[in-house]
Amino acid sequence: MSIQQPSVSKLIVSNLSTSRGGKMIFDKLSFSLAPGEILLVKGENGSGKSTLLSNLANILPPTSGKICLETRKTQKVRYIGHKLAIKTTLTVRQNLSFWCKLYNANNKFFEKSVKDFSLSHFLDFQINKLSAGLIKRVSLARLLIGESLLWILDEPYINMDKKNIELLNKVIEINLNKGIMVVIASHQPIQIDSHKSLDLAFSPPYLSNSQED
Amino acid sequence: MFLFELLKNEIKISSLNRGDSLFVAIFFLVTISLFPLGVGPDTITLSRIAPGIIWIMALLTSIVSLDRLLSDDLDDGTTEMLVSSNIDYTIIALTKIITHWLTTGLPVILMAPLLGLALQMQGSSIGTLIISLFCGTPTLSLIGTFGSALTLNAKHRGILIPLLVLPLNIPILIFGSSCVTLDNINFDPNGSFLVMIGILLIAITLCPLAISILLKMSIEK
Repeated sequence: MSIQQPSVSKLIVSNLSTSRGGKMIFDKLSFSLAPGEILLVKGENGSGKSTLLSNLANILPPTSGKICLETRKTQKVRYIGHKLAIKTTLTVRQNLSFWCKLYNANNKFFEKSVKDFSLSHFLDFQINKLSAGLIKRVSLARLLIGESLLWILDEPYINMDKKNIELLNKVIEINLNKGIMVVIASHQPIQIDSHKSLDLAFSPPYLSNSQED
Repeated sequence: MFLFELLKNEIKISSLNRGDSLFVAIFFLVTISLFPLGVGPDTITLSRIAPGIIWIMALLTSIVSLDRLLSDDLDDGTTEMLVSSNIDYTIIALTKIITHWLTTGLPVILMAPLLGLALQMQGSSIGTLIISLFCGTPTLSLIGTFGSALTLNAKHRGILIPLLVLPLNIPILIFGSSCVTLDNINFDPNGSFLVMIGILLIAITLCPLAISILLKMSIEK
């Protein structure tokens, strides 16, 4: 298999600290991710998983620290958060083709995405007529549209049944082999071999008073 | 160009679902056609107050859809998605402003000649009215979107937006309707046009910047 890499683009996070509303969410977080690696961000509710992911997705600037991703200036980051960014009154096809235009992707990506997430039967359905799990699947279809390098998935397994989870894991595994980096926040274990993990649970802000050493 | 693709999607969404422009057109048409019934069919009175009526209604139609203009995208995550895809806040702001003008300003301009005739305006005054609407409605969209961005995290936005936006739009109303009134009494309306274009230029430089900052703030809150 040939992996095309014009430049090695690792994700390097160093000394990342973020506070929201005056509270330190996490402090001096450092990790790095190489192409083909997957990072599972664990932690209780409120431990800062979503905040970290918004930092990585360039949505929320960190209070201090650095996030290095060489391809930041291109559109190679796919962030799928709690809000799915789907227009519910459009059809599946219309949403997908908007993303194709957004990421400058041709029809090949569209068809691949539809095939891999098995959406072909629902293409002309309006989103608000679909079930929650299916809507989630449509939102995940954005991952496969256009060239991408880093996937940031915030609780991707919510609303998904076993079959859909397997489907997503398969897509992730195939693309890890192609050199994509994946960051997943989830409080359930993931069935993907050889993943790195980062546990944010060691110092949630609301425990910092009682667990000071 | 992302602006163009975003715009196409916006137009598709607003035309398909909310029927925004249709609603605006109907609102504008129905309210203005009520005036001859209320004021009476007297030709002289109607033609005298017609520019004012059309301008006031243009102002009111511009605030009808403001409360959902930016918040829809913020609530469903589209704005976050665009930002994480490296699209600048300014592009998002410009898209919203242009969409607002295309769905409210443009229908008003297109229907103005018809309504001018219904309100007994002269042919030449209708021409002046159209030019004044062309100079003024973009400013209404710029200021309106700004008001919408300013109230993004506020409760009772439906009340706040008109309270905020209508006073800011008063200069446009004054100069817009005075263009036509001046033209009616054979005075040169060019001065009023220039003032409106001046206000438009100020709004173009300030509003997109302010809206993008406000959008950024409400995402990062």
